Amino acid sequence: MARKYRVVVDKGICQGHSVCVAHAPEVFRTIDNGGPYPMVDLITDRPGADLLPKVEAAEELCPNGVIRIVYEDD
Amino acid sequence: MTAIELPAEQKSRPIPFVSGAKAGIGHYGEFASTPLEFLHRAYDECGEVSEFDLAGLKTVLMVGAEAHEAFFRAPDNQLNAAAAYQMMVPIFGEGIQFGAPPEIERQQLRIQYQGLRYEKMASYYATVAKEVQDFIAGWGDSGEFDFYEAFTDLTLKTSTHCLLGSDFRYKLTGEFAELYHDLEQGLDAAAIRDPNAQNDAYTKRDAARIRLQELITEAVRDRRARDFHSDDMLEIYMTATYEDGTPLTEHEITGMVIWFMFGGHHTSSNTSAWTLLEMCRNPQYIDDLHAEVDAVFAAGKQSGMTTQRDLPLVEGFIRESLRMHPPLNAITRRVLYDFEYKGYKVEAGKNIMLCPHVAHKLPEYFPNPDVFDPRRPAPENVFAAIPFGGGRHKCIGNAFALLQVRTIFTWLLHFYEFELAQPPEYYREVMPTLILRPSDPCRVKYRRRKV
Repeated sequence: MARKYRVVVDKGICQGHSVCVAHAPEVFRTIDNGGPYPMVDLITDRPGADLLPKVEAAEELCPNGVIRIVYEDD
Repeated sequence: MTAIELPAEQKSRPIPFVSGAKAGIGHYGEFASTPLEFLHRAYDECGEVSEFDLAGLKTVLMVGAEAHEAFFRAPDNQLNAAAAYQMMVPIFGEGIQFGAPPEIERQQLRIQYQGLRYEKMASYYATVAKEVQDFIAGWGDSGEFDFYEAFTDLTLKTSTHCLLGSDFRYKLTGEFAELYHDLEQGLDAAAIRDPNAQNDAYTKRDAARIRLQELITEAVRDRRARDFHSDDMLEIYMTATYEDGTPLTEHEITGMVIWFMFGGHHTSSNTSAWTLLEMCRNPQYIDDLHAEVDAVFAAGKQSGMTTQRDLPLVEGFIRESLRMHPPLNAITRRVLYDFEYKGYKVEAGKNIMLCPHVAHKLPEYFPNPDVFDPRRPAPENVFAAIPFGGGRHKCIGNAFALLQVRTIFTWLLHFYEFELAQPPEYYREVMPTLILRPSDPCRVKYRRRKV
């Protein structure tokens, strides 16, 4: 059975590298809020099960460790 | 009525003071001559939070993931980087980065970031791969080389190539490397206290800054005269404007170049040197390393984008080298208003320092910390390993540095095998400037693989 999960990002340590956007553009985007770097923004924090491999890649490859997948197994 | 007992960590408590302070200079002598040994001693003696005195500059060392997180999440107007890093101002130049008001620094950082966007990264792999091929082209079947000097040279070429374009890179002379070296020599422990003191190293540093501006300005004017455009950082600096529309001056363009080089060069060259050394010291992994890079070649990805998923063991070696031998070991902020952590109060005017070399040896995050283990899992807490710093001032070139070192080893390990030219214990950690490096002579032997 597909695992239920949600995505959590820690904006306090994001520097806009955008690796997540490259790997899972359905889930992540960056926004320019006038700071020195763009900032990660979640398009959805509950992507479908089919997107899990992409979100896992984003979590693993983020240079700043910003992304965390929280599994919500019953 | 019962008094409510505060949890221990909310009670106010004095910060332990490191022993051995001398009249007038405090711990400065020991810190300047053996900084790492001193910082380890401070931690061993006092624990998570300790205080020492650098000739009047009161400094608090904080160690461990929790302490790091509190430090990195504090606002910049409380724990201030600019005030703590004034030794960089004569190197980058007045009006650049921490020599500029925060509002200007923020806009300059936005310009720097243009060169480090993910889309830009893809073009850097091929450039680095090309440089490594040229680097090994004359090696022959076997030999011996000084890997510290070789990586310093190689990463200077890769950095300038990615940054300033092929026109500048192929005009790169020994003079540029020497000037750059003079700038680095101006960064010693004494510069933390007074970067404008009168001494030979600082005089050479300032002369080098002036001459570098002449060389870079020449390149800028040459491009403008020829209406030459390129997909590199120099182009970005030449065309960027501040938010009010003002372009960067030649002084500022030079400063941006030096700033970027300082970030990208020494980190990568030292990390490459330590990584090669650890690969030689740990020959039990060599077959797996070769298998990993050979697979990248077999897939035709050797000049393109790779990740730690393609090269987990190579990446593990790089990250473990950064843990054991972090290049920069004094991450510092000036306290602008009182900072509290677990009941310790650090008053305004003091510095707070983090030391990766000390923090990366804590067994609670890194079991058997003195063992080099390239398959060591990353600690759960992202603030435990801090080779690139953390928070809003974390090195924005960290992804570039890793891609560069990863690409260097993809090529080196595919064509050659390496072995130490001296007994393993001859290679020690030394820190003649603020950067940790292996001691001379840094010699290894190489032999072409039969592939």
